[in-house]
Amino acid sequence: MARVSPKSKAAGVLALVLGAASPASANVYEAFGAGARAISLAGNATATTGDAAAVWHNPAGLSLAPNSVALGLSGSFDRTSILLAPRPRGYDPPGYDLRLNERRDSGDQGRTLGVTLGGTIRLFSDNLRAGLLIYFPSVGFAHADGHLPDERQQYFENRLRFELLDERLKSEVIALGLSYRLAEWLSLGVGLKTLQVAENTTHVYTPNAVEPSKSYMVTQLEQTTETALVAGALVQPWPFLRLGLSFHDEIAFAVKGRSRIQIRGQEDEDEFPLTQPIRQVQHASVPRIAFGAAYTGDELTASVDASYVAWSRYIGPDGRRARFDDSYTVGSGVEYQLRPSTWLRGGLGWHPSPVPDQTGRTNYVDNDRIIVGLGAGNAFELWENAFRLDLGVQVQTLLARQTTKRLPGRPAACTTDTASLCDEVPDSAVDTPVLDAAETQGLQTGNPGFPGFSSGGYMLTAGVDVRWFF
Amino acid sequence: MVRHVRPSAAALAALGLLVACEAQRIGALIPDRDAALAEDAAGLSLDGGGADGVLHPDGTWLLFMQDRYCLYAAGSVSDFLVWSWYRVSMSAAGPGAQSSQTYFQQKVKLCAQDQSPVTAGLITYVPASVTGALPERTLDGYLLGNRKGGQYLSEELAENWGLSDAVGPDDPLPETADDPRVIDQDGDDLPGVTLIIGNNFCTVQIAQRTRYRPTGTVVAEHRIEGTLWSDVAKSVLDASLPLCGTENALETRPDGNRMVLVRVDGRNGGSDLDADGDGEVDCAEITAARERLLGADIVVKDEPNAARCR
Repeated sequence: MARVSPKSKAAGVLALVLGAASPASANVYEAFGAGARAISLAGNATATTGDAAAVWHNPAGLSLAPNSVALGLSGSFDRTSILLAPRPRGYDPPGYDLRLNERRDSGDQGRTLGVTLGGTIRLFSDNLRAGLLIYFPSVGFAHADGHLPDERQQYFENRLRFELLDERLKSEVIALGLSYRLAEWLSLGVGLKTLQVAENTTHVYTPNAVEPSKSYMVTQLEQTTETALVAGALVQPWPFLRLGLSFHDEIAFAVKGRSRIQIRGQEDEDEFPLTQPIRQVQHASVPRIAFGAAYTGDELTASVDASYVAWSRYIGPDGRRARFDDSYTVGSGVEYQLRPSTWLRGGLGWHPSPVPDQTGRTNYVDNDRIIVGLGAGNAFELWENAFRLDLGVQVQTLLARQTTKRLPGRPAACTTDTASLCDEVPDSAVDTPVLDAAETQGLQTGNPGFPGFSSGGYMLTAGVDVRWFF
Repeated sequence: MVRHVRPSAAALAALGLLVACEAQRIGALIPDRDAALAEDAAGLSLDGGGADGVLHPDGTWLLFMQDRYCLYAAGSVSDFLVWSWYRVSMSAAGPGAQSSQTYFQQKVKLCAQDQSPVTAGLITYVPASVTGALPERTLDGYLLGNRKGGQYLSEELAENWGLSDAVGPDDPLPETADDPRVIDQDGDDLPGVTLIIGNNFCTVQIAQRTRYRPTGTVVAEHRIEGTLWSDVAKSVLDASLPLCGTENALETRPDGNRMVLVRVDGRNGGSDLDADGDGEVDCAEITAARERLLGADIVVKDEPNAARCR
């Protein structure tokens, strides 16, 4: 019988795991790292994770985790801004000055705060371990604050948002994982995550079509849960080298449903009741594969991470593909054992933006990011129990970016398929009772991103974890 | 009153990185579609009309002052310039001993103030809520000779920012916000006045006293050019970020101070900034015309030159 090398076995098992894998979610862990230790490593922990955070970074890392319970607090201070260029005259659609909200800059999104509860435990044997990780955002579970990525936004907030930060950082995380150590040098793991899906149907009866504020309404709300899988492998061919691979599949928090509207006097119409579909997507996360390689010495652990992120599968807030580019991220983390019970940590990362220049209709705002993390950990005993305190801070700088819209030669009307800056008022050759023909000629747009905008700033994140080993 | 603080090099590097990522607003990217719309209202003119060669003070003037300092902050020194735009309403108070001598009253109101970048390229912005809250001051002026070469003198202009008028020109400034002489002048429920640093990078509450004594020479019937003595004292009361609350030291460099007093009511050869055609030039019209005045070289800002302070 042919002998199979350990590395071939690893590759085969890994292929099986990856083939069976499915979803994960978008949240503060995706942006900054799970827990104070990962925050200080700038999120680079694929090969070095070894506690409850492994459920997120690499479930196979649970095989390194002793029994423990952790409580953490983390928060972000957002100093990003989007500044809109002044609008030229002559492009306003009729009634533009009557919008509910005036076109405005976005800045100082505020603070996000959350509590992490994590734990790891041995199951039946030393080779099988389980982990649990829950993030409670201060805004509560299933938080939804929708927006639209194009000219339709003028009727609502009338401002732009950072597509990949902002509301995405307010998503909860409920995740658990299992790992099994197949050999001294090989561990495999799988994780499950959940997100809420809300399905809402609103029935409306309007007895007087000219006074829609006097309507009867009945709402049916159903909440379901979407699950996602994370999978990973950890290989240690030599004591000083550890390799990690993890895979996250896509998932999104969505609000779906419809409004069914009955208007008195319209009963004979073909479409009765009138149906308005709702599909609002938030916290969309895309497939990603992360690879990490770590040198693990007596006192020093140094790792490099690289990820491939399939942003081309990103679903925008209106439920349609956002046409982003796939991207690669790189980073590194260092952990130095200063004393037997004290660790110092640092990390760097480079996350290029997957969002192409928004010269057309959409206004997805995103910037290249430089990530710097710092932190420390200290083990101590209290009442004859072992504890560890971890602190981490991270700064993400969003390198300034400017976007200028491209004026189309012959602007197309705004339809579902229009990708260029679109004309909200089709050109007319004749005057109408409400509009002169002259007001309809050429491009009329209230797109809040027109004629351009600039974005940048930084986010400061800090976390503290206390872990009890039992 | 002034303290030197030297933050660490790491803090400076971090600040530099953060500033590099700050979004800067981009200007007009696409021209107005209707060229007729782009025409400014009311035939605003910077050319001036006919003149008789004699400076007549009565009317509305713009007093543009540039005071220049070496700013020591965050372990570095920079050439720091302050450009103040005052609306001056002059009215003759009487003749002097000779017919070419004139006493007049000047009602002086700060319309806007611009500042050059300071440490790490940050610019301090003085919001309109601050300039709008500063009261109009009445000063005596004197003209010795009302033709080209005549001399202009003005009473000292002392302005208290975020301070009650109980603080005199030579009094020490309050050090803390709970001093009763500190007032919430700009009405934002914060003591003193609030200035914005960077593009909303941070805000800082200060109490400040500025003193100016402009002097000049008549160079045309609608224009006086000269210099000024200046003094600024400032207390930082609070800041939204510790880095922005760093005290700094200002060293006056009077050789860089300049003043220009130009007529802006369109009379006697002066520019006409009365954009709305109501017969008066107000602060909003002066503020809006700044770029045009600079572009036409009617007033000139010097560029910061760090070598001046080394």
